[in-house]
Amino acid sequence: MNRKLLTDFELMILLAILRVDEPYGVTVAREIEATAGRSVLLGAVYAALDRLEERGLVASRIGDPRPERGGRARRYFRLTARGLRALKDTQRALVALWTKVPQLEGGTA
Amino acid sequence: MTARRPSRLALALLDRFVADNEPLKGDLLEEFEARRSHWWLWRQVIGALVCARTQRSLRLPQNADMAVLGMAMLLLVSFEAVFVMNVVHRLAFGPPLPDITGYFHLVRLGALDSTAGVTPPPLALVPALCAIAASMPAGWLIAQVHQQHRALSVCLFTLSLALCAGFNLRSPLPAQLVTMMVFVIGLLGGSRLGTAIPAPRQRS
Repeated sequence: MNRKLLTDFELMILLAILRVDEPYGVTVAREIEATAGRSVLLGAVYAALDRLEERGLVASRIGDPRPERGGRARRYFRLTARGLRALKDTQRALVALWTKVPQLEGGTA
Repeated sequence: MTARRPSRLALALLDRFVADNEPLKGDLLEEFEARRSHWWLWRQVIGALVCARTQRSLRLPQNADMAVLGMAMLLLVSFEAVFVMNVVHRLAFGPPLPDITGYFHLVRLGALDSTAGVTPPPLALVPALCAIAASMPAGWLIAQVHQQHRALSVCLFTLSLALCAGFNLRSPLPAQLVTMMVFVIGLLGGSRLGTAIPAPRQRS
């Protein structure tokens, strides 16, 4: 299989984009922090988003300038059809790996 | 009560070193205004610098020419340091070794000294180590300047350096100087060419 699966961070970012109402850097980072319980660097989020955009998995648009941001605009992200497909492929692969593992089924290691 | 202000130095570092940073900077300001500490801001800025480095979106100084020139001069100084060490060695340990200058002297010195029964001073290795230490950041800088073809630019840089050093092995001083100037001009021309071609960036 040639298709490249997503890393865990990329997976979290794509899922966060789908989960929040206005997906931009701050909301995506907050969503990951809240659900995954890990601290997130905004620079790392943007670096991953740039990578995902180069691969055609997300698209971005620049919003209106806002005073609370010193007159800077937000950069909103959305998943492309290709991104959604990559998400489903990764989900399938992970679910397949997750099933039929005896150590995980009985409740004891 | 005075309003909190984000560190100007932190924001200046972002402006200076992280390309396309406006949305990130806006996010940092928004979060800082809302609830975050100065420590949080600094941590985010340092993290962004590291991420930009690994992502290769680090912004080079506008005067990259000067940086390349500085690196080239450092390399040339290291050439001369080897030459000076040769002279010191000749004065301290015996008859002159004719027509030997530059980096390769250190290799030849070992062969000649083994026949002459003279041990080369360990100090002679210092310029060679300096030369290597100087050429590594120069290679890194060249690679940064030539964002599109990093491996190729490093290979060409190494080749040009080797040719320059090889030519200087048995050349008279004027020819050495000309070679060095050609080397510096080549570095500058290459860096100018590399920065003149903008990296493509798609934004929908």
